[in-house]
Amino acid sequence: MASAAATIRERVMAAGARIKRVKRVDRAATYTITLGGIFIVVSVSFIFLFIFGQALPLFRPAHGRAVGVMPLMGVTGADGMAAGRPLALGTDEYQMYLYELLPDGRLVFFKTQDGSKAKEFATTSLAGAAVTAGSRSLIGDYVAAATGDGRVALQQVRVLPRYEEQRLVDLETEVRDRGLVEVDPTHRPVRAVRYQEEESWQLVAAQVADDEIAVLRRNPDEGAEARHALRSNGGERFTAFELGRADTLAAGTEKGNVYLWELGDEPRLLHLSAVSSQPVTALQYSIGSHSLIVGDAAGALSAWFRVRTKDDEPELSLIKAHDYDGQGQAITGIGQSTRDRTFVTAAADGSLVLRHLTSERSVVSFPATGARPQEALLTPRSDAILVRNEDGTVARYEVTNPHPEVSWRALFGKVWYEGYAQPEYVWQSTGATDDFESKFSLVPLVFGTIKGTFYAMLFAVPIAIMAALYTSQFAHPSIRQRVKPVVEIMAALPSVVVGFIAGLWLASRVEQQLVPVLLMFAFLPAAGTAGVLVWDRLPHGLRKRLRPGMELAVIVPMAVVGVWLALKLGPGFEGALFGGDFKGWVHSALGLVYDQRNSLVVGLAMGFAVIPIIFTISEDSFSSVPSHLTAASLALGASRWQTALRVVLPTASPGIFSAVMIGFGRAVGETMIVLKATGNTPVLDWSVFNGMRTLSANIAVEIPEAPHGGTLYRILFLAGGVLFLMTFFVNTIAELIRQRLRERYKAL
Amino acid sequence: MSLRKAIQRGDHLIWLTGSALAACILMIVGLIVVILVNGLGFFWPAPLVKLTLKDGGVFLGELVTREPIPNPGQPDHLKRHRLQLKVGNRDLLGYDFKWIDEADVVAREQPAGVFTVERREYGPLLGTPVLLKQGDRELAQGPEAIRSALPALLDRAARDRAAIEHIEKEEIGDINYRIERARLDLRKIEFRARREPGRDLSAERAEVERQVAAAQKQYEAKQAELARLMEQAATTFVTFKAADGTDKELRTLDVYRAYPANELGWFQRAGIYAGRLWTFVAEDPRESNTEGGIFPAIFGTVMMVIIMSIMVVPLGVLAALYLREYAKQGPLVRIVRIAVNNLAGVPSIVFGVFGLGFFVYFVGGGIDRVFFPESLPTPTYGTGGILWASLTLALLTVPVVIVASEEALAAVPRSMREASLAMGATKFQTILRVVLPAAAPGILTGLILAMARGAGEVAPLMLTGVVKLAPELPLDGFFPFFHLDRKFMHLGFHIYDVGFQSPNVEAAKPMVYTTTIFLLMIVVALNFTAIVVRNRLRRKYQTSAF
Repeated sequence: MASAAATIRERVMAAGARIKRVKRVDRAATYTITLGGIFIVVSVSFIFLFIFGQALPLFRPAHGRAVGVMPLMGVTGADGMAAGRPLALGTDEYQMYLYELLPDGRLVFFKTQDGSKAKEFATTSLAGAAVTAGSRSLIGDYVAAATGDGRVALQQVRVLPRYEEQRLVDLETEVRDRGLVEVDPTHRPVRAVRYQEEESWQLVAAQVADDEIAVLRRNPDEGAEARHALRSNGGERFTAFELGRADTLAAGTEKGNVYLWELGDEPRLLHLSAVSSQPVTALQYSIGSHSLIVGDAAGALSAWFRVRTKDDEPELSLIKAHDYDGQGQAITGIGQSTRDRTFVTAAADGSLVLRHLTSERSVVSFPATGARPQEALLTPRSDAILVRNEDGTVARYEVTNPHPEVSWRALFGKVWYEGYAQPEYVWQSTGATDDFESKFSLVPLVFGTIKGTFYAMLFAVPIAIMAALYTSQFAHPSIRQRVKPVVEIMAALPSVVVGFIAGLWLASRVEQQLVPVLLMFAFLPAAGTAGVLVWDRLPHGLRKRLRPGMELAVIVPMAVVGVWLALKLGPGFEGALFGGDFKGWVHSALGLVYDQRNSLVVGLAMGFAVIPIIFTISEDSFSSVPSHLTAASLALGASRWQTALRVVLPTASPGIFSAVMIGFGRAVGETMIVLKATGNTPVLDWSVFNGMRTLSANIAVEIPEAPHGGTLYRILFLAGGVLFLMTFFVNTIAELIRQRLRERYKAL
Repeated sequence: MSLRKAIQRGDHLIWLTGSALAACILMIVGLIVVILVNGLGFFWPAPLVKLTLKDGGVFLGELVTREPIPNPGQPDHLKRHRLQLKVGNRDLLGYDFKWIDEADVVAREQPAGVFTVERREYGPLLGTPVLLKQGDRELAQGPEAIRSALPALLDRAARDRAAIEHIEKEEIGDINYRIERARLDLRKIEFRARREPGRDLSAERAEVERQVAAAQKQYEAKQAELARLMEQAATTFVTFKAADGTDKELRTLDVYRAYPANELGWFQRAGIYAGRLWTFVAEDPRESNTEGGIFPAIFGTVMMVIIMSIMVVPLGVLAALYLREYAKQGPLVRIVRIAVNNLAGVPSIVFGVFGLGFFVYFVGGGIDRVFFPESLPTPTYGTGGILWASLTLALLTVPVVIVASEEALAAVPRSMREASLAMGATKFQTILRVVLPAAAPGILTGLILAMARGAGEVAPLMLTGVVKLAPELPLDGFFPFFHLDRKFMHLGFHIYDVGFQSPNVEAAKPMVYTTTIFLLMIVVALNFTAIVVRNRLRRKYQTSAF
């Protein structure tokens, strides 16, 4: 007995343990599934956050901080005397050293870290003559040292990085002698100098009198040399001048005029324009020398470039494209970045503003320090600003400005780009040259997206809704059963296939048979509708077999006849109405150019892709209209069409609306079809005969070339986010409407 | 019944709506017909036509199309016709296709003895064989003799090619792989040496260096063997005379297939058709994808879809189980459901962007920094690859699986659950043993639909790892066999790339149509299976309702 009781107890215990285990498993499963489910749902929303998170740094403001002021004046001359104030300032790409040109002709290198002196190079060719002016070119580190007797020593600073185990350890600096030139044969002292080299041509400009700039152009390899004197009109004083690419020289005067010369073999004055009522105090060319940035004594800043304002104008004119927020005090220095279109402006009170040329944005501002800046420069990597003050000190500021060219206005507003006659919406992310001005307007892309979607919907919506109406209301059940899988297969066709057929087959056919294709839009429905005439005249035996709802058996052959007729009659039509050349007529009468890959093709192809979606949802909502409504209507004597139009359509209209919305969402994001069926040119033009570039195609085209983390990369993520928002929003509305409709049907 | 009455009742408008449906049907039928007509004819060995023109020019080729010549505004607009001839011989002529005005043709014949030759480079060669020789020794002369001697030589060439390819790809590939591994090992040792400066790693270094040296030696031996084999194989030459009289000498090693195009019976033609189709399915592409086969693309597509399915099923089912069985039904879950539903409508390119930013750069970049620092800056996982592409597609298709699974779970009759629970089963046991098996066909439908969608998507793949030509498959004989970091080829991208980026679109077009047929077959078959499974499922529930 005892053993039996024990067995029972054991069994009960075992069962209890098993139940416990099962319950434990159940609890664990509950937790796992709940956690897993929540995790998946959360990670799905994470997609959205991540995409916008990648785009967010675009809008993060740039920031900067003053690092300190270095009293580099501590350098003494060979004779133990103070060497005087520096005349020019430069730095290397890695900001390891900065160098100054001193009045005794020495180039002294300092460690940027602590301001201690590292090395120095004497300008041997000057042999101790006093240097009165100096300059350093933006590109190439060409340094000029000009003397009180009209001579200029030309040098180039070269920096070679030295790596150890892939880490930069030091720079080797070298100062190369580029020659000593006599820019002014009359030996007047040089007040200001500029020097640059381009394709082995040396160009030196030196102000030797109030109203005279002496220019020397020489090519030591070929032994060519030419001197010119540039003078202002009426003796007005030059207050600033700068050399640009392609042998141009811009000079500003005390009366607020700007002279623009082209220094070929013979100097030619291209422009003389009044740019300000105040004296011009600072001038700088933008990278690529297209734009000229002008600062005046009142602190106003503007940018100018040369452009043909009208197509038939023979000469370019110098126009003001940008105005910038002023600084209140005279602008004393403008430093241009060598990698993009940011520049820094220094005012007489020591205040600094980092700006972007194209977007007119003031990126970072630093308050006045009281020091009087003479020169401001942006380091080659645009990560710091160096300011040479009048007292010989150098102030250094660190800036982080990863996406200077982006602002809301640059993305969505009209922007005045270099070489354009007026502000425009342009998308052009990359160019052939380094000094290319990126054009990041999303407007043409959004426009292209809407345009493509519009034409696709124009084609798809009527067809899909009418087909759905026919299938659900008029077609015989046996036809309906066959039609639905066909449409489902149509929905499953990969868009790359549709795009391929559209781009390689349809586009060329449409181009060859444009008029017949356009005629088809009228002939096919007309022929199908004309079936109503045939219906009554069908042979009796056949008609007996075709019950109402079998119209399709007549319509399809009739439609084929319609298509055939369009193809046959098209050329005749073209000959009669458009002189045999419709494309020529479109060009001459409407001023439209016909592209082979155009919106018509996209509309047809994308419409094809969208039709099944709209069809399926519309058919669903038509079919689920309660049958007692239609029965009542028919019983009251309304015809099938009247019932469909007055009862079914209004009742199902929210469903139709959501079907259209979902179709819209699909068309907006469609990539492969647009990529292949359009030329992908971002144009702002509604014409059905040319292409477009959509947001989605733009992402596919550009992202392989966009470096990770760069501006273009982030803008493309922004475009992706915009697409996501658009479709998600549209779909959600459609879904909500559909759910409400379902409830309404329940109530009926 | 009079027409007026019919119009009064609006019957003609019914016919108008019917026309819309007819237009849909015509479009889909038209599309499929276009693809089939263009794609299926590609492998058919068409007869060669010789055209003599007014100006004395002679062209031999396959007739591709005949179309009216547009000349807008002129009376002969679309009245005259031109012929497109595929003339081949790109190395001799500089083009593959030639448009010829029908009015210029004075003689048209199908000459006997002309061959279509498929060769390694420059597309097909069309011409009459004139000379066959081994080294300097003549083997055969004249079309008849060559025709009987050629097949044996081509068989040998095929065997030689296979042997050469084996050495190049398998054996030398293996050695290269080992050298590359050893190189990475060396860098790893250097990394360790930097981390642990005190340790003596010279023994390990020497070992790896010894391996490299050994592999290098093997490599040289194999190279020598390869050179010898090449020399032996490349001794027979066959010369063809093109239509314009130029001679072209080919190594038989470079000839893949040659047939007398105008002297074939139907049966032989069918045999060549089947052979070419097989080549297309089973071989690697050649000549920047315009010739050869699409095997890597088929393989890549299938493998990607399989990896995607492995990812997407647990994720989708788990989320559906949570939403349907565990979550408290309320407005929040309703919102989540709508959101998930709508995710299916988000453009695929957006998922591609996400995959690039998150999987490739963020996750992949992180993996590289932690696990593969020795190969940096060359990325291992920090660049597109089949794993990232599959994951991106899994995300893209997970809403489909969630929605389908939820519907399937909801369709399981309440009575079945209640019976299970009443017998004392826990919730999890009920789900595992009763609900999930009953819902399995529905979930399967969702999975198949997801696979169909995944197989046809291209846009997200373009950002996450698909390439036009992947030298290595993501699955091979080298450890660890699955190379999920590798880039891969895909049928859809192949269509896009060859059809639009190819240097010789006209010649590649038929191949693209054929590729399209394969992609469509995969997608339509998957969809069709889904429809069948769903219909079965419906019937099953109809009978099981009690």
